Amino acid sequence: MEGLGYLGLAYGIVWAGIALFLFSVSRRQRALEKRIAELSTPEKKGVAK
Amino acid sequence: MRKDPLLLVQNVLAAGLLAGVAAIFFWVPTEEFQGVAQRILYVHAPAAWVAYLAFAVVLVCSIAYLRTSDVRWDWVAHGSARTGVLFTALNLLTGMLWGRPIWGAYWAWDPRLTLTLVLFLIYVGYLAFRANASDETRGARIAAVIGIAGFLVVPLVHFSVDWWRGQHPARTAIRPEAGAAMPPEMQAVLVAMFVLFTLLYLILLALSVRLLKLESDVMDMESRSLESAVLRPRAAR
Repeated sequence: MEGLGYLGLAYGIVWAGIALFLFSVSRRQRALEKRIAELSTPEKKGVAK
Repeated sequence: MRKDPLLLVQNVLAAGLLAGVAAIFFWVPTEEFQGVAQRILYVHAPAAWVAYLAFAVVLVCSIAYLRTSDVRWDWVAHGSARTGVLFTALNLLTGMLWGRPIWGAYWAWDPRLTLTLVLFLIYVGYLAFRANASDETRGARIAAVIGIAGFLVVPLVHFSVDWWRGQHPARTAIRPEAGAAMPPEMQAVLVAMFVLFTLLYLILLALSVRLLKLESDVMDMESRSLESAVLRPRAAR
């Protein structure tokens, strides 16, 4: 059953690769949303004053 | 409360992939000559198909971007290149893990493998160029040319097993005459994995395009806030 280890590794790499891609996209998205919130906050404060 | 339209598709896809993997491990018969390593084919071949599809989308959207200068085409091309690089990497890695028990080596300088590596490097170069371009618009236009030219390697990769003699097995996954020799369970699971990987590509593409749009929004907001910071003192005078 030598192939079993390679089979497990192949499927592990596929799911890990996809998970890593999704993780990096969601992390970047959160950072950008935070930046958008930061950039819009001073304008709102200005209007309130 | 507003629900993400992608969420339902993502849940259906996750359930489908779980069912697909369960079928690969517990339902599909073991191939006589290659043993359990043959089951790598169910992710290896769909990853190759999705890479072809992703780079075809880069080609079409890059042509559209060069013709119209509409930045939305560029976002789709850029997002598709990112996804294509991911699936090409997965295709190469799963192929190496199949090669070790079957050929006795992770890598052979076979035409299919070598050309797939070339394809991977071209689109890694495309992404690296985009990441380092100082002028966004000019960078996008040059990247579009790279994206179009890079696609020329895709047919070479696909037909390399017919045109040149190498170690890589002949195309069996989507050829009807070869597929007939495959047991129906194997065919059914392989087709299902092709469909599921295509759906996965579409979701990853949608997420990547959304991210690129957000990046563009942030850049616009930053330049506007910089402009207003420069203009405010003058207005106050």
